[in-house]
Amino acid sequence: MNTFKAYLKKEMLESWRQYKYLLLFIGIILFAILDPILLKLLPEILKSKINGDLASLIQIDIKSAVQNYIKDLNQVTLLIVLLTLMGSLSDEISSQKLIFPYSKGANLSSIVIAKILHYAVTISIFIIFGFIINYYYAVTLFSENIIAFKNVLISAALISIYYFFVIILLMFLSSIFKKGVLAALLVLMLHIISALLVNIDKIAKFIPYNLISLANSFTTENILTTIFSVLLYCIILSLLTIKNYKNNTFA
Amino acid sequence: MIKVFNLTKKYGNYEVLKGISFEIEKGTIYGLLGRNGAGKTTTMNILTGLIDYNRGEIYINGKMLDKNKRKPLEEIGYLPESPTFYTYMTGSEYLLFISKIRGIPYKKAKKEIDKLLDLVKLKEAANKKIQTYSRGMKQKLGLAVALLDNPEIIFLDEPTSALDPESRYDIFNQILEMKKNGKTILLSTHILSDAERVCDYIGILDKGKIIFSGKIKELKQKYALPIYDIVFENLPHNIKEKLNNVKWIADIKIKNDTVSIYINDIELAKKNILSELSKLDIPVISLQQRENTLEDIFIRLVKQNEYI
Amino acid sequence: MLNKLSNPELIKLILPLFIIQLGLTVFSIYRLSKDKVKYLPKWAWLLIIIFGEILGCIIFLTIGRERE
Ligand SMILES: Nc1ncnc2c1ncn2[C@@H]1O[C@H](COP(=O)(O)OP(=O)(O)OP(=O)(O)O)[C@@H](O)[C@H]1O
Ligand SMILES: [Mg+2]
Repeated sequence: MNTFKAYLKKEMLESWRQYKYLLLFIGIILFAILDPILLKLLPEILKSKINGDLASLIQIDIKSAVQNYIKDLNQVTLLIVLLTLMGSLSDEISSQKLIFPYSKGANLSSIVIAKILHYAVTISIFIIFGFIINYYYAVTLFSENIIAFKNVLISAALISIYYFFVIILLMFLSSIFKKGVLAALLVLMLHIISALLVNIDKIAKFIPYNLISLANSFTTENILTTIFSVLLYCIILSLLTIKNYKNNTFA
Repeated sequence: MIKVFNLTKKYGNYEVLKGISFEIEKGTIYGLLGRNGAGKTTTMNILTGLIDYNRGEIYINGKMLDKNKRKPLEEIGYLPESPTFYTYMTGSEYLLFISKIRGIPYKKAKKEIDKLLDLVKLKEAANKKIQTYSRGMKQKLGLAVALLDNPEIIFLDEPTSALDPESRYDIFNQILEMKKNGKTILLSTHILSDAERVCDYIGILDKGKIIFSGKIKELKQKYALPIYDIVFENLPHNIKEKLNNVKWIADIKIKNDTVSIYINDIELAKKNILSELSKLDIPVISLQQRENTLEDIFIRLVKQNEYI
Repeated sequence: MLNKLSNPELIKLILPLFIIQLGLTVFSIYRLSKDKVKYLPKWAWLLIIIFGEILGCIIFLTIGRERE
């Protein structure tokens, strides 16, 4: 517990001093504002470029504005999150920063858990905040096809869980390869592959990416299977990360 | 306090430690000597539980150091050879961070940190970020970290390698002070005069074996062979060849005008040095006998080990 | 649709975006002047920060700076 608390505080200090909070905040919140505004201005811009008829074909409503934000959350934002977090675990392993803490009795499992929880909570808070802002912009700028705020919050939760999974996957891959960039690239690849796999109906609900599809459709049907499978993957990957971490750190 | 028996460590197929054994008594300072790559850091990393070993037994404070049990290690401090920190922290923040890991209450930690920063003379830089520290300052901070929470056993891997002479002097005084307080210390160094100054016992590590372990005095008694320094009128150019097959000469070194003859049998040398010199038929200006230094002994031992 | 919102209202909505953009650019240039950089020379990073807008700033802040 001492190690966990010490490391939680350390992660907070690190994120603050290395501007990780700032980057995550901007990477997540920015598009919540930017997207609806661009969508609002898009027909105007198009109107001046092409014929009015065509521009009026693009119908944007509240739902599609939020969906657009979800799209950005699993593209640009994911990239920014990976860029920001990729060095976090591998740096400590490769640069032997753990020798002092470890020789003074730090518990390696607590270190890994503190790291994962810290980033998971931080990103979840930003994502929920982002959805609230996005929803506000969407209902202010558009009028048709309203969705309930409750459903938007559920989408926020689903996306947060997906990010929780992404963070753990990143940590797990870093603990294997010890190179942050490589781990981040692999996460990105898996993300893209699973975006394809999720189209196969039979397995879709066991694929983490399905969380994004669910968030995008604003339904609450059959979401539990996916949530529980992802949480299970998270637990398994965390345990494997801890195990790798113990074996690889000083070898 | 520390007992190492038949310790073996392999990196892949390369055997770094080939069954080393030594023992360190409580309240003494043991110096581990050996050239680059001899395995000093490896030994330290094993004893501090950082890396695994292949065979052998290690007892720390009577308890066996098992691969998975770190219990015996709760009372240690380790200063690695190039300490790394979270450099966005300040020196005192880092010490506070380590205190938290150890579960020391804030107030007590603050007090101890103040004391330690004073001890390693880092007070002024305490509130600067570690990324601005010099190598020597990092080493001092590392020592403070190692000493935090008053460990019984302290491992120091080349603790003064980055320090200026004054700091070096201070740190060695601190090390001696710690010994007075009953601490057990294992330190590694390349600087033999340092070892001579502070260590009670030394072990010489070479080619994966401990080729000597004991008191420095014993080492000197056993291996202290004199060296003859001879100054010739004109430096003979082929003196090495000429004296090559003299049995009691171990080595010949030429530095400026002085020819130093290292011997391996004192009795024979005493009897024959003059006759050998007269055989050369070159005018001699001076002939001096001197005690060899620890450095000489070290070099010779390591060299002997090469022929085995 | 746009006519439904008056211009001042739209500006109020866009304002946070401007502030984020401006703040981040200024901050990135400030860090660029102080920190050691990686991979590219400083002037190249400056171009990325200015013309790459927010994404350029983020790329500079995440991979362009020497952390130690
Ligand atoms: N992780 C590793 N993998 C493979 N070989 C290693 C590893 N660490 C050390 N070695 C090898 O083990 C040997 C001993 O290294 P070690 O660092 O213990 O030497 P040392 O006595 O501390 O040297 P120095 O005086 O330079 O600090 C060296 O030959 C080194 O190449
Ligand atoms: Mg070493």
